[in-house]
Amino acid sequence: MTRLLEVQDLQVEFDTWDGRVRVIESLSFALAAGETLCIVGESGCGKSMTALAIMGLVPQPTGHITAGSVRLAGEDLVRASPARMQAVRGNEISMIFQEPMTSLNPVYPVGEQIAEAVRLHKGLDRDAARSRAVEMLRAVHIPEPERRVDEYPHQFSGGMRQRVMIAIALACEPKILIADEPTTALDVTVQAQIFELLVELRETRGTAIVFITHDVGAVAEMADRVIVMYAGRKVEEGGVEDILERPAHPYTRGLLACRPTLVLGDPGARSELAEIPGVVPPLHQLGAGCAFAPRCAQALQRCGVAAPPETRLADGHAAACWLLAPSEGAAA
Amino acid sequence: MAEAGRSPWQEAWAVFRRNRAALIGLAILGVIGLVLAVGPLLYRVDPFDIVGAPMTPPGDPDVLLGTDYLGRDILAGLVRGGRPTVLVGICAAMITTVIGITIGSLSGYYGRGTDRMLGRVVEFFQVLPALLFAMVLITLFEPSLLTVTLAIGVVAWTGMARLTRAEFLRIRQLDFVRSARAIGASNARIILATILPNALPPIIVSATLATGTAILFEAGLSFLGLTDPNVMSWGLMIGSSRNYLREAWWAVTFPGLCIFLTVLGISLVGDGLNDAFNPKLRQR
Repeated sequence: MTRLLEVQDLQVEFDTWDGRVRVIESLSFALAAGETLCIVGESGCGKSMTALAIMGLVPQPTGHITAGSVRLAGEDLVRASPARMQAVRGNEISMIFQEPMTSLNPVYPVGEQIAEAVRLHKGLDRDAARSRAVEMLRAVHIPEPERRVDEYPHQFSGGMRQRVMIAIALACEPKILIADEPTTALDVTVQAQIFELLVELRETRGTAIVFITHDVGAVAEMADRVIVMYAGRKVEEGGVEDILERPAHPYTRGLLACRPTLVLGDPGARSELAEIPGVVPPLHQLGAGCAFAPRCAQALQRCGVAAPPETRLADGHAAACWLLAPSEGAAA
Repeated sequence: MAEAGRSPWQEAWAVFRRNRAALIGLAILGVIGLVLAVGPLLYRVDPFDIVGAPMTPPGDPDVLLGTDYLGRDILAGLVRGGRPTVLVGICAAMITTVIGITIGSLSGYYGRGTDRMLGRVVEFFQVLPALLFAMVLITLFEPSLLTVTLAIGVVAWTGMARLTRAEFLRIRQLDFVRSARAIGASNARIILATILPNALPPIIVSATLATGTAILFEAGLSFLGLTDPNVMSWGLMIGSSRNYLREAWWAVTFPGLCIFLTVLGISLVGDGLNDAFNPKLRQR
């Protein structure tokens, strides 16, 4: 496995009125070329911040990457110069966001916005950039790309705009595409189309995808590997089968149980939707122990005392939980 | 072509076109512009020449709009004097806009220390009484069209800076700015190519109205005698004839009317632009 992107002990902190808050704590993972890694978790667990940290876009001036490294093909992006990061963004690592309705600039035709990316990074002239824009619109399956290239964002639907965002992101053939909940704001049918498109583009272009979502259905659809995050920490990591079929961490299991299931024809079979009691704790109130312990039904006494180490369960499958720690293994 | 790609600008024009008051304003400005452009070529009387008896009332076949207290042709003054007046207004508004956009965009985009520092500069200029400050500037140097223009521009830019700053504060946190950053756009590019075009509508409206204000300001300064006495302008005509207001009302009224119409036209167009750019008023 060639490691394209390697995140090592990443730590991100924010200055708030309540003091410094650690939103990501010693996060490590790797991304291989051409693979899809899903990062799952509830709102506020640090998924999006992880993406922004990779892009070097942690909100200034309150946010800081205080430790760790993000290595792209060996080069540490955390220590790269702002100019170097500008050359990386959109060219080697691209990102698409949650809100396709507002992520395009309303005063420029979509074609120009795609062309902007290639003109910035590849130095193409106007005509070449424009034909590249048409080509990209065709690649994301927008009908009549020659005509629509001159249209403005307000003339596109939400799903079409997300396609345009994907076209912009992939115009420079980046090695990595970070998709931050790209389908959350879209209709379910359109979501499926976007998934399909991302899968297709990954196959044809070999782009590795970091897919951030809170939707377990999307994970099943997209992922090769999965990272489950809780309160800024990685609680479990594994292949998509490991996570979906053999979830080890109580939080992962809870997350999977929270999916509604459809049972047709028998109203009585409609089961109560499971939920994880409580909410993600405010990050400045995290104690010394496992962040999930207050909500965990199986919490042991030591869970509140010290953070659990990561335990290897199988090849590529690991979880951070005291229940799984070797000494407690029998208890679990 | 009609189908594909109607830019926000084209949409604004479609709204503007349906606004009667704005079109009247545009027509007024068109007539004034035409007169100022070709008038001096057709009516070749020097406005400083004494062409008849002093204070000839309007209606005289030789001097249609009468003469002032020195016997100078009022019509010639109107035709020649419009260019400097309008030019001062436009140039001063441009100075205002350029300074305002520069300070406002840096302040709004970078925020923090930059904002605080530039905010002090804005406040410094804001607390100075504008007319007095302009008068001081003009009397310090020679009263000429250039110094008058600069003086007006320098005292009037703070509103534009605050407007631009507010727009930048609002727009810089929108999603498409984040997208621009994510494709690797530099700060300069984000300021100039991403945020500024989206901030332009209110700035254009404000710049239009600033032109009217600058013309009035110039007239006010001229009335007080602070203008270039060697260049005929509407303001100079009013200023020099003000002592004879009761004997020769026409010497002051006609240039005053010209200034009034010009500023009215500008205001109507400015309001029309405001409606056209304001999406809440835009009917589909």
